[in-house]
Amino acid sequence: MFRSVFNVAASAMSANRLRINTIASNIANAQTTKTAEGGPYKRRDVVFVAQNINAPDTFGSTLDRATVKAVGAAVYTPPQKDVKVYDPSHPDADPKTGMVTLPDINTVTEMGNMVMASTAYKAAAEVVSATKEIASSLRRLAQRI
Amino acid sequence: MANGEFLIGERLKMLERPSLERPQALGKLSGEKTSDGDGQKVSFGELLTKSMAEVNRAGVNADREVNLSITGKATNPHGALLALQEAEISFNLMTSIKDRLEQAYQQLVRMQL
Repeated sequence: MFRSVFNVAASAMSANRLRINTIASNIANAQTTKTAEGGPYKRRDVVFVAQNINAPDTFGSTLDRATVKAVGAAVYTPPQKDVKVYDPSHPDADPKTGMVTLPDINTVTEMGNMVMASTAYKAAAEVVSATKEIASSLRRLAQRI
Repeated sequence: MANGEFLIGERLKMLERPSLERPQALGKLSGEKTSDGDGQKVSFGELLTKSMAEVNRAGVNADREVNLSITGKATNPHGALLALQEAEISFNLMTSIKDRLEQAYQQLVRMQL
């Protein structure tokens, strides 16, 4: 009966963990000029999509499945412009113009997003704690004559 | 609780019968039909069995998630913890329900006829 809540909280934690991983990748590659695909690193972001929880097909869960939604996250590359810097001595500089293309990543913005993602992760953990307290209060109710 | 109501009803019926029929009436208790959430008639024993199967499944799932975590194959750090919490809550609730049913049965059996 608490399975839906745990599913939703687990999906929130997974989505935010993916978001933090993406942000870590962005911060680490903020100055990357060469990737396997050839060009400079492109900033990645995640998009959150509401999903149906996978609950067993019983009557009690029908109401849950209709009203409660889990979240799924997917990584995508938003359209962006690269930053060009003049540096002819750089090994990845364009031989004709001497410009190096760098990704357009603002580390401060990424760290702000990281704070949001970690707060959302902690909030999902608090949801699980609140559910545990509800269950333990049910137990106390059952114990008293 | 609903099962307490039908137990009391059966007990009252037993008061009207001679005591020789008492083992029979008690045997009828486990076969008495009640209805679950979607209105289908299931017996109380089946309800209990289904609930215990769900609790068991939660426990097995927790075991599997902990194994995945320990061997390093898990992708989520929270999978094992959440599965353990869920199994613990389900099991505690089932134990509380079992205790209440036992107490109800004891009270009924102790009733003087």
